[in-house]
Amino acid sequence: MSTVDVADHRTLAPQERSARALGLGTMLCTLVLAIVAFLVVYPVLLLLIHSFEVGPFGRPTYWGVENWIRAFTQPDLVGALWNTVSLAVTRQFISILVAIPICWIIARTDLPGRNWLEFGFWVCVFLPQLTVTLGWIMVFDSHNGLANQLLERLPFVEKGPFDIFTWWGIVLTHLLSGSIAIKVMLLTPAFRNLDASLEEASLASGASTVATLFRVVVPLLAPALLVVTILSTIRALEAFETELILGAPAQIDVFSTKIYRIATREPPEYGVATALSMVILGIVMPLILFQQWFISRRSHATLSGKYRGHLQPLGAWRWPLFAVIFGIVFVMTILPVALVITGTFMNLFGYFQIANPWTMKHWTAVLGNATFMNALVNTLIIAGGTAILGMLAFTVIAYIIVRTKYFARSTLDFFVWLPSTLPGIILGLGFLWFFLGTPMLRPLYGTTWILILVAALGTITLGTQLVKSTLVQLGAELEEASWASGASWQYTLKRVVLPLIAPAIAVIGVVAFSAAARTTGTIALLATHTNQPLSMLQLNLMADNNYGAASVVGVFLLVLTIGVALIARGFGLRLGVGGR
Amino acid sequence: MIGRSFRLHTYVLLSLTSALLLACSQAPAAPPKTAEPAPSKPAAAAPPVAPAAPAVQAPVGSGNAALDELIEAARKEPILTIATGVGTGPQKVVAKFKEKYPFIEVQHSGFRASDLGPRVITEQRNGIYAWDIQVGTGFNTVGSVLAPAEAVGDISEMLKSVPSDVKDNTKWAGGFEKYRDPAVKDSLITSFNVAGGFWVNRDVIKTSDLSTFDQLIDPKFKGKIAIYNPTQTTGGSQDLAPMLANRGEAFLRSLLDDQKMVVVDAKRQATEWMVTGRYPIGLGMDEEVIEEFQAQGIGKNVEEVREPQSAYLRASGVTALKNPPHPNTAKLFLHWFLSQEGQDAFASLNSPFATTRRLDVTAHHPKDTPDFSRLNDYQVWTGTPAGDVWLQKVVDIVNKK
Repeated sequence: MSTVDVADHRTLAPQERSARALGLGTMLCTLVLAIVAFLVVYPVLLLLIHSFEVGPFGRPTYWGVENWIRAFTQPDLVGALWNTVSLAVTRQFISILVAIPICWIIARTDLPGRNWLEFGFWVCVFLPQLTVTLGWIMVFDSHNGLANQLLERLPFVEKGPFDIFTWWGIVLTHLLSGSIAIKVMLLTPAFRNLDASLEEASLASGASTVATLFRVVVPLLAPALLVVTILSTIRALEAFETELILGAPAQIDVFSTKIYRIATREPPEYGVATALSMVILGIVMPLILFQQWFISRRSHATLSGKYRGHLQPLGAWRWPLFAVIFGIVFVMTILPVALVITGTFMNLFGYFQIANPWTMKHWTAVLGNATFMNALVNTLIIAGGTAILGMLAFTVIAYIIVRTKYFARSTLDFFVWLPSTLPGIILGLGFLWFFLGTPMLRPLYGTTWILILVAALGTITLGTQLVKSTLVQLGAELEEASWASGASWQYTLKRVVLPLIAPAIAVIGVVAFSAAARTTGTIALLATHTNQPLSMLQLNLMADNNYGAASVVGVFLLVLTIGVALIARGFGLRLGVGGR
Repeated sequence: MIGRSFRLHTYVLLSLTSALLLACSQAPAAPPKTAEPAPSKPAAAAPPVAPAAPAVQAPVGSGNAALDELIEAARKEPILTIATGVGTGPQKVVAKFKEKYPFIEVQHSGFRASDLGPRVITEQRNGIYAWDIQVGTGFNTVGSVLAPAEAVGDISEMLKSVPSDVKDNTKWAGGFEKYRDPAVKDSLITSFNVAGGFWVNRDVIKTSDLSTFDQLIDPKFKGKIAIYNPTQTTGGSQDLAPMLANRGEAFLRSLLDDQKMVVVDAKRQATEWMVTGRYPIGLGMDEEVIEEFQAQGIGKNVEEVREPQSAYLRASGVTALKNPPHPNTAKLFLHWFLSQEGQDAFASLNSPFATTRRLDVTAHHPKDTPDFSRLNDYQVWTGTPAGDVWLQKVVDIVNKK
């Protein structure tokens, strides 16, 4: 039978396999590497090469470095870089500090309603960013925000202190609309896979709960924390919707807004934008190499044959902590959902004081749009296909990186990080060149398959790294016991490994679905009139300045994603370790 | 238990995958990928997919022999691939053509300005000629990207085959043949919008304080002006172009550098801030948003300040793309689009400021309709090569090149 030599970071004794089996396994891994290199690296290389083509798009060009010179002599570039890094670092620091205790409480304790609270954080991640930002403006605007208005009714408050159009306003908006929630979503499965005996040993030795959390639990989960932090940092570096809106009055520019403006000029300057995007790769690459080195140093297995998923009793803290976590979920999820839905029924979003604040016209505009039903079906197909493809492909890739001794697995890991370092608007052009310029792929052009593939490639980093961090937690003895009992590699994978990582796979499916349903940048250049999803309809409506109708589409996307998330949670939690 | 449950869920997953594969294989056909034989033979060999059968037959005989002949020719290739700007307005216009000729399968895609050029050019460079015609709200993409890349066709040649009933010079302001670039003739101008002014919220700034363009650089207005992204030719730079043309670079630099204008990338947001008084002066505002707020009782004292020398014309119309895959259908569309019916549809549906050069069509947006007897009085016509020079100068100044 064919097998792949499996290693658990030097703690697993090498297994004897036939030379033919090793060769076949290596061939399979090399095939996967080749496919990833072809689909991921090639488009990025195309962009990089074309960044050295100087001249307006479409006109005769020559090779040179002028694009790079212009990129790095942009006005206020240093300021934008400082804003980018400072905003990203600040909100990563705050969000990880807040997310870790929340994850621990949800995954490791008997908090009432913990599964639904966790789901509340999931929903926060799926909320439409633009609409949520507009909602927070309604609350924290310095001129007529609800929060300031309420405070100014107090006799000793002359002027409300909140102003969302500031540096801290941007940080706060991100924290409330996804920075914390995405970490809770991605880290809670990792916390769940922790053997309770490790915490019990710490507590039995006299350490406090907080000390146990930060001295035992956090170090054990370091690979997962590292991966999630890097992923979140990349998201933070590339975020621009919120910065575009909130940064204007204070002239807060970040890298991503500069890249966006350069890429959307006429003619678009993709070479300059690509050069600027390489800065993100430059910032992230040391982090990527560090996490590869860190994970390879020693075993980080927490899910072994002796695993016990015992929940820590909270005792008297049970309901107070429930109130705190529920309060966070309320502010981050329930309130924005209410704002988003309310906004779809408002004549002017956020203006309650006008004579006729309520209307159904946005809903009739969307439901009456001739392309709506087609777009809805397209969304289900594209997002569903992306989810299924992602779950299968990312699991295979992650398995090769973590569980095999394949000589190029670090290279494969590095390739997988690449797509996330380029903004979607630039990656979309790379994929356009890639599919049109590759004869064997050209028949895919104009089909729905290409959109599924591109959307999946857009989530390859998050998906693969998530499964990877879960696989790192699996102890080798689980698979060893299966082999020792005579099971084949395939049987072990199907009956031991996959069920254990099922929750992580479920998360990938949901995240891939959500990302594919909402993506515009990577597919705008590839979609046709027949396979345009709801996100393109939403773009059309925003181009009409019809944010109300665009929010209606956002609600549909939210409902779709929540539905899929509920199914996936049922699938993943029932099978996964600690799922209850 | 886990094993049985896992098998069940695996079967569910496999079933979903099968359904997905089935759905994808039955997905509507991709747009045609090859064109008529052309100097550059397309590399993709997939033939156009057969269109759906017509639900309603077009009228037999329109009384116009040339048109009937064109309709018959279009029946042999009853597909139209048309590119427009994003928005629901162009969808409605195209839908009117579809109502008129239901036997034609209209494959319509809306593009952001920055997306159309790269897509069309990349397709053509790989031998794919997928687009018959482009109808836009401006010629920025055509002038700055498509035409220099030689991705456009000769619309005057196409128009020779279009029945002459729509080409009556007396029905078009300035005569029928008015091209974006007379040297290239890739695009026919069918519409001029007059624009160019700045908006003031009179609840905050009185008329006595600000009523002329020269007063805009008064230091007391520093930090009080919001402008919609002037870094692009499609943004607030259009309102700045006539200022550059009439008042010179020093005035423009003073406005940009000294007045600390707030650059806003979202047009609606910029307009909302002006209407609500956060930034009481606005450039590049969206009139539809202003009307929306005023209809709800907000910003009733917002007004536009215009001066004759600050006004400019925005040209838009229809563009022929290189090697259209369905030339006869494209000509049939042109005939409809240039007719009174088509131009009325465009002027009433395409956008809140759409107009037409046709003199026998109601001016649905009079404020945006120029005095056609004085077209040459406007110094800047954006969308034409001469006008785009001014736009590019503004963008260069803004981007500090």
